[in-house]
Amino acid sequence: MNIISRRRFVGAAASAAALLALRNQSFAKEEPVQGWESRRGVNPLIDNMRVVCGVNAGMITKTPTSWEMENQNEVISIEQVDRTLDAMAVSLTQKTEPNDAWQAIFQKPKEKSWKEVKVAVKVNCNSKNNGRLAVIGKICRSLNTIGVPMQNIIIYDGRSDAWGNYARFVNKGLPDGVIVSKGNKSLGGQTKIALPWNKKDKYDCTADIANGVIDIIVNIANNKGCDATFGKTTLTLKNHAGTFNPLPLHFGGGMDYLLAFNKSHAIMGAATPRQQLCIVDSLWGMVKGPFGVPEKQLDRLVMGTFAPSVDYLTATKIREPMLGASHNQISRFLTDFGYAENEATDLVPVKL
Amino acid sequence: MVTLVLQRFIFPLLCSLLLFSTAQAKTSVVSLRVKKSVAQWQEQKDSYQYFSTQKLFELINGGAPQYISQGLIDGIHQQLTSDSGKVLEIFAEDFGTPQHALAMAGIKKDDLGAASSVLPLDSGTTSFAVPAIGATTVVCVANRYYVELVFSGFTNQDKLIAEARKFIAFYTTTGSK
Repeated sequence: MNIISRRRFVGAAASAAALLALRNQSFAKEEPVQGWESRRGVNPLIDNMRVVCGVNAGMITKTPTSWEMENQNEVISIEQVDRTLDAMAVSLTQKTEPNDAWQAIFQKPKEKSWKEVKVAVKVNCNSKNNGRLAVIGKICRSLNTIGVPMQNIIIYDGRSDAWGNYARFVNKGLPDGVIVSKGNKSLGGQTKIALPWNKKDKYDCTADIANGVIDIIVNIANNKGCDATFGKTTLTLKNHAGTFNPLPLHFGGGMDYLLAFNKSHAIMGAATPRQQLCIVDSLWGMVKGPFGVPEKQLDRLVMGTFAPSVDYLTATKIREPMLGASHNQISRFLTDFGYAENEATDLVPVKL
Repeated sequence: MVTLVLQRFIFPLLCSLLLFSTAQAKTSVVSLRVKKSVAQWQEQKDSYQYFSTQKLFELINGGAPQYISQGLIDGIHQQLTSDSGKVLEIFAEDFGTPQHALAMAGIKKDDLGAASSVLPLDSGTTSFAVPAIGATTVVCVANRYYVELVFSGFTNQDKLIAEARKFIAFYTTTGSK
């Protein structure tokens, strides 16, 4: 029987460990960190700076008596919201028919059929002014018309939880079959990923968005304010503080962290940008927030393919003049993505 | 000898004091939880939460620095409903001193008042109401406590104010103990 000396054993173990480390290094898949490249077009048919605004006083039929989900939705005209969003899609894509327009907005991975495409709809469930059912429902139906099965559409807010707000409305305001996630549960829970920011740490992110199970993200935010450290807005960029852990935003990360997760591979994707449509449900607006209730009825929906320009123009063309809100650092919404402020000139008004 | 005194007496004493002060702070603010002491309002299931400053960041995910910079120590959150379907959301918060609580109320008054009219509910500055669309925010200060109440579902403003006064009386009494 061979007896291995202690010295030989240690030597053999060290060699094995070194080989294992080498093997792991050779085969470890490099994790993508940043999905964004400066001035990359989200959609080849739509300029990133094109942001459309639908104004329609018919979308709100009367003043809500309360901000419970039932109350803020019962005063909405589904038909008028449908009509407005169709017109906005036509204007955004510069097509003539709504179906062609929705088809032009959404892009699927080449290797998949529309039946296989999975969509995550990020809503803002913080406090009481939340994405209206009519807006979310219209997006689900438009995706379904293209060929995405309703059961492949997942409505989520990983932080404030969409389940409590939206689950009871499936088939009663939201299309039958869509999934409302409890936290991140229907999206694989959470995972940690690197961001194009403080590279020594990893950050919590909705798993199926980080790992590419989700092909398309639709970002539906509301018109709210927020803290000064990240621009005083809760619009589409800040909305992903419910896809990523929001705490670093409040503990030193501020605007740097906000912009980093919006440039991430998880949000922007690789071959096809994952986040393809950004909407600000601006039917009502709040100067402060995200907690609280709206101060003003605005009768507006804002839509674009590129979150930074959607937010910049919503802030400068709606929040500042109509709500009297002030902002700071929001030029970084554009400059950090390679654009000058004067490239985002105005919201495109939509004719109804 | 010094080490022994530190280990045996000083360290345990400091730990006890720390635990006592933490427990006392938590006990103080949780005493503001509305149970059945204010008529016709019921706490919604699972709505009650005790929060520290860190938890406030999770609870409201934005807006917390304003409260923390004014000295917020901790607080409670409740959502109540009335028999007639009206809804009341409450944040009752301990700011450590009456001065800090009043300063927070002043900031909130300026914030909310910028977009809407402010209705004083007393002769001083300790309670006021700010109507908005579909809801009215009522703020009151009771000793070191700052309380924000958001009433919704009311069509009659006088009835809302009458209900708000019941809560202000509750907080004034409980907060002074």
